[in-house]
Amino acid sequence: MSELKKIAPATYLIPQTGRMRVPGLIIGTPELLKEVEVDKPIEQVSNVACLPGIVGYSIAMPDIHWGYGFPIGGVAGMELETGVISPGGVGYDINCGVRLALLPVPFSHFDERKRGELLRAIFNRIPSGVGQEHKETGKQLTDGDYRQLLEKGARWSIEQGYGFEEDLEHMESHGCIEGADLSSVSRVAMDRGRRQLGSIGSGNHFVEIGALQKIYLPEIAKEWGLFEGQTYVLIHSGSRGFGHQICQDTLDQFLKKGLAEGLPDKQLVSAPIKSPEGKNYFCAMAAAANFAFNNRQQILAGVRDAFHHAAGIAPRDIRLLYDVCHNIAKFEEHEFQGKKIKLCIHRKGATRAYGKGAKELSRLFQGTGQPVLVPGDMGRASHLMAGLGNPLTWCSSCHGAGRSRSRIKSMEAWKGRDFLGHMQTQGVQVLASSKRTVAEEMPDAYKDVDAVVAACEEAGLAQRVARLKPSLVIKG
Amino acid sequence: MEFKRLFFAVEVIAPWPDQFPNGRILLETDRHLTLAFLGDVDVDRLQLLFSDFPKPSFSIGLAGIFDQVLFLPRDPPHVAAWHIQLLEQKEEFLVFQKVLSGWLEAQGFSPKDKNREFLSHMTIARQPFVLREWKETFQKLPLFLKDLRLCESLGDSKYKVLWNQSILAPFDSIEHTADLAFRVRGTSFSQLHLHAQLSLSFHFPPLIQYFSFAEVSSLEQIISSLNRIIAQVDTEIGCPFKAVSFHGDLWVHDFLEWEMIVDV
Repeated sequence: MSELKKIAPATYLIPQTGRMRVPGLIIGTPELLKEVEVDKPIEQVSNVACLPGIVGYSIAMPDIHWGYGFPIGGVAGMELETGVISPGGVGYDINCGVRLALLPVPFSHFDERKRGELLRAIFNRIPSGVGQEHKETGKQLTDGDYRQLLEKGARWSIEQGYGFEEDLEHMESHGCIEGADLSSVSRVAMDRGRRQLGSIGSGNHFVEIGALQKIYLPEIAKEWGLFEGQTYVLIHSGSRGFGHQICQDTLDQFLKKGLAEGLPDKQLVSAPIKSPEGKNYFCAMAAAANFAFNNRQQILAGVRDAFHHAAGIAPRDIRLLYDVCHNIAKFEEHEFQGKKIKLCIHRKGATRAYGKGAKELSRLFQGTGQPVLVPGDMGRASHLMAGLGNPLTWCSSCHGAGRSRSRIKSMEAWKGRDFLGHMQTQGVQVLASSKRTVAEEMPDAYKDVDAVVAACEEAGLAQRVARLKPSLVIKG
Repeated sequence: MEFKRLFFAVEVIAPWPDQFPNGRILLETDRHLTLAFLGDVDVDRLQLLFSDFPKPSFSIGLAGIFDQVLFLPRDPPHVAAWHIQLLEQKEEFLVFQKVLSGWLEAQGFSPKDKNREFLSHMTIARQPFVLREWKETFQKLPLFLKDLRLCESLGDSKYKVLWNQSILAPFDSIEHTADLAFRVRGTSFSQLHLHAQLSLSFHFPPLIQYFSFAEVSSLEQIISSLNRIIAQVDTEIGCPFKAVSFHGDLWVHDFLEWEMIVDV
């Protein structure tokens, strides 16, 4: 903390020193930064600042913690001619992201018995946890499926009956990153993902259902069709083994080619954006991103089907509000020093947060800014925010609460205790394939998401629209 | 002169299941692999000899698996036990057990069962139990052997450690905010490779079916091998690990020590 200099509300500067090409910028409050061991992630922010072609700042969000090369919560914009693209700036789980769907009824509409039925119905329909997708029969992607879904993005699943055309208007990049190319993807990656589409996975991924507990901005809430007490569904998952393998294959290839030479940390290994290696990674990364959009689309279809069968709610009445990516590299146009420039923006554990009028946004969000989805922990809360398009962070905001306690420490803290019973006393029913995952993911392993979103608001990145209180949670 | 019922044993560490079939289950801290059972002996005389204790064949705990359930003795069985299959230094370990028995004999002690072939096993429960339940629920588990111990049998499957010779663990879990991390040890790259797989299998035991004993001669080869295994496991049965990161902190002491970070 000592080297950080406050330059604006909830905004701290790491001065440019040594080989840093730009200064670092940390969004947060002293309280939040005290909660985690920040020396290593701050060092990672400084390391990212050394990458060729970086413009503006090497940035970290208030949910910063130690990651692979880049910190989790890291954002960096690279100039296209001289800049690089780095798999460590995207993460292993390419296009890990979140989507929020809303029901037309309040959560109080469902009594205790019905809530239990819904939870089980969703759990039975959507594979969650290690290897659960292997129990599903007859659902395996062919090479032809891969070609189609990578080219079409989430539209492919909609064409297969998983959702509705209007869902596409409610996704970042309309559920498709252009440039995906199957020839850039290894056979191992394809085999790894073949049976995993439509599954949650393990770790911190989940499906969560609850009520909009508090509305902060009634005008935006009205625009987006929100009301207090409304039932919501929040889905968090990514590109599963398909994306993990693409990241792994690329790191392997980049390291073998010596592309880590001269970097302060070999985990930052990267290739010039315009080089064959850089282009190849982008094509493979886009492929994984489109797999992830389809994954979340099919999970939502499972949730819609469960509500239809268990509670008689028509699938179309479960309206997708938005789907965001929080592990991605994208080409975006931003204003820098009075000029419009095209950059490759890496967001690793960070969410795009376009403000009002951003041209990529659909009409619904033109007057409000983009929905920014911030899952917290499975006990306390998640948040729905609206982007403010802050140029300082390349229109980015936080992606979650961020861990404050390791998986091992959380396991130890809850060993021998009835953590599922504890969650029930907090008003949350949890169903999971693995008890261990629940112990690792208990709420006290995370920072207080309220404090994280407050810091983003204070820094002018996004504004709170609603607080979401979970009641039913499915974990891997 | 104080006589106690004593035996030499090796501590066994494993990712123990939360639940077992019925039976009088031994406490986790009492589970061990017996090397030599001495019966009632003068503990003071034995303790005087420890400066001359035979050097074990291993300086870092050995990797193994519980590969089958045994009921001992055959008819009628009193205990349910798990057989230990060592994955490294099997011969050397057997030699050490024999050396220890010989040393004890040379000192005037008479280890029981010295003429019987050594059966590497760990008692897990005593009667009453239902054999069928133990057979049906058995699943292979990874393990490692750790400290050498002289134990006193207190009766009712309770033991007290009287002497301990510490052996380095093949791995330890270490703190990492978002991922899993281990400090893995080995006297060679091959052993480091095996112990890295062992650490992963403690978190996800089905991985033991995929253990690789391929020759490796660098950290990069170990990481590539581990990631091939993870990809195969994920493809075939699902895997909680995304990948082992290309993280190169390798320390060379009398042995190799590597900080392995696993993305989950």
